[in-house]
Amino acid sequence: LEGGLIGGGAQFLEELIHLGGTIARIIPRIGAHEQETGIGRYIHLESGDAHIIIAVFQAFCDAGKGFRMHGGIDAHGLEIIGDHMGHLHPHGIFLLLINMNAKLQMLDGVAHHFIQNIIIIQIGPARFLQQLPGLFGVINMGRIIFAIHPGAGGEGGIRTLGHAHIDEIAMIVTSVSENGFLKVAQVGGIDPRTLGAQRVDIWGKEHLIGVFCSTPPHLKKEDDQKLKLSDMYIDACCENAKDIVSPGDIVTFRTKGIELLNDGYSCKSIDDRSAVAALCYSAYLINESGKKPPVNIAFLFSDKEEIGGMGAATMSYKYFPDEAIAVDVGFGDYPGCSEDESCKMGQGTMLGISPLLSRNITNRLKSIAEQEGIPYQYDVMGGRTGTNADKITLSKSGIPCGLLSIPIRSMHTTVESLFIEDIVATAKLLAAYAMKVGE
Amino acid sequence: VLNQIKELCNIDAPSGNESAVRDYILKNIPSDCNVTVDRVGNVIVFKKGKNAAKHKISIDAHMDEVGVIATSITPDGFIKFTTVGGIETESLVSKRVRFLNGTVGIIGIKHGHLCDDKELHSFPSKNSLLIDIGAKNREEAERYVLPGDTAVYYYEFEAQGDYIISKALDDRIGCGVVLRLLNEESDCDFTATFTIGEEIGLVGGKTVTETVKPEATIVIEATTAGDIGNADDSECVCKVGGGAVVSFMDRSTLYDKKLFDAALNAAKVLGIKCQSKNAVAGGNNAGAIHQSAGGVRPLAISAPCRYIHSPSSVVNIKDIEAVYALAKVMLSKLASGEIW
Repeated sequence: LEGGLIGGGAQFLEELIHLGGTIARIIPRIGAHEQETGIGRYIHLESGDAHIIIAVFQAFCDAGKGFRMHGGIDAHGLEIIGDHMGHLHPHGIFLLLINMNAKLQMLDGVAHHFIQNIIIIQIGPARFLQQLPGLFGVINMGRIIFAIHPGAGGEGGIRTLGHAHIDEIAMIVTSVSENGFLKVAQVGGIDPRTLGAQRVDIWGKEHLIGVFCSTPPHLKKEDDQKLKLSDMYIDACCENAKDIVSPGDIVTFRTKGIELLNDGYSCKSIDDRSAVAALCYSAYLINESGKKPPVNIAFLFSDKEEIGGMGAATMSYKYFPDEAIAVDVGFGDYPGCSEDESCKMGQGTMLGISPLLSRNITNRLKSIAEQEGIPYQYDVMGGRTGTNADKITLSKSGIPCGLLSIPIRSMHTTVESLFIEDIVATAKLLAAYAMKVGE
Repeated sequence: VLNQIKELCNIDAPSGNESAVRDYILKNIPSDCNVTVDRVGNVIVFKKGKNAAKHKISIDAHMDEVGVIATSITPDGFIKFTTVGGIETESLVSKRVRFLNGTVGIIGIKHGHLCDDKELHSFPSKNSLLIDIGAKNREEAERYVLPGDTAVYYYEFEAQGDYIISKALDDRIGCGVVLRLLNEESDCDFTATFTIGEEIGLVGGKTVTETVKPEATIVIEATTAGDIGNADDSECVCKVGGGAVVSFMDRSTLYDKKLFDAALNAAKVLGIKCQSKNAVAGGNNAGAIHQSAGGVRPLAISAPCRYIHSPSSVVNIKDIEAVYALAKVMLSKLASGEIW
């Protein structure tokens, strides 16, 4: 975790260590520390002690704090973290992923390192591969994580790729005014109806909290004025914003995740962290089965889906699997959405059916879901799917692709929501597919 | 000071449900004050000063905040609602709310991808908005929320430098300032009122005045600042960071010109940062107080506040300090008769 060393930081960490990693005890302790010092926002950890990293990390997640993570965790650390898996899955995995305040980075940003670490944390301890690091391959192509599991088929066996994207919709600063207001452009589809008084994280030279301006009644123009991001300002809540924020800096939504009834959950970035969680959980399930899958399985966690799917296009070209299953989020039911364009929330994974997708894979997914009693529903599209399946399908000389989606509400807003059971159904189907595809 | 404002803002107390903030206030009033809670829930505090007051002065802050109230539950388990106090649609769409029993919900929206161009670029009608608590049907939802239950924004207080970002700054700022005055030695006797129901029509302000019968009142408030984006000076009304805001007129009150002038002058003499509210907009408890109990001379001192009535209102702590300093001075000068 990066940032300035807080006053008495070493002592504080010492105290955390003695708390023994009990998350419920650490969270209030960090809160109290903030109260005492007023500067608790940054904690600098040089210790490779995974207990502390995971505990502090999770505490920050739960407290809805912005934070960054640099560097890696060693194999020993991963093993220790593995012991936490018991209470981290599947709900915990998801909470962990969804809460991370990652920023979509264009080049070598911290978000990339950060997300990479989280995925390693989740997959590694699942003992997806029996040892570290020998069999656990992480190929980092600058922005992409690629974990490969050699199956029973050996070198020449079928190679199956699971995919989710790790980026989220965000914004990029285009100008900073003298009085501390920012103009931004969208990085991914921002819904202009949802922005008024919305809090954001501004990732300038220092982290700033900002607020989207809402227009006071006396300044409102005519009612039929078209809502456009380009007309809106972000208040950086800072007198010297101009010294801290520059054009090109990334802005993300600052949203605290909340739990709803029926294991429901609402946060930003559910698109597509919920799919990342599904992949991680399916890795866990494959491992738990104690059997070697008949195919070689790789997971691709790609970047830049929201701006065109460059990560998926380039990495599926490089790896060129025999087949792929993309996992994304889909349109859940909501008043105003018709039944033919949305699926039911909490009623299983959405099985993508489209002329663009491989009918073979789709049929296999369907029959495995039937056999295993995994809830699913049809998600029929006339052509393009609007997901990375479109990119992977067209990669190199073509990759047959299937698509599973997790139904969510209010897509591309700060209150995206879902039911955890739909992540679980998606993960189960993916794992079952991996174990049975050779049959 | 910051901590007290934080505690006050994090209390959930929409109009009609002020008890949580009232409890907090009662706990923080010093024991030497004479405190009564009237039958509608206003808190009336008599503070003894070093000297008897020549004029009976009240200082008012309202306890309630804007919120929403459940009106019905749909068969699918969504909660229909209306607003308690004035809330713009844009402050509701894609926001979190929490009912007073702790049930949390989100105000969702139809997927933007499924909207046509016009739908995506205009706000939905306010009465089409729904709260989603994750219930699967009406029966389940009704175990958590019933029509008539109220909720407020579920957003935490945050501070960044001198800036505060929070729900309910209107008018927990006022509550904090008045509490502070009660906890300090005062030159003259005065009466503080913490009122209910301001956001739904100045209810407590009207009723409490009939009991207290002050000669003049100082209303401590948060007021709309329009200094956002590229708004030019004439549109700003007042500016965050520009100091305490003194009103000459708003939509409910034509203020006492003599008190207005005296407040600006006192601020100037004492070096308290101060600005006038340069638009006839908004309104506050002065609207009810000044025309109750045979008439009361009104003065309003406010903290400039951006995005008022939203989950993320923004104020500057220095402005709150200026409001406090000016209120203290004016209270003393009015009660002693130095200004009258």
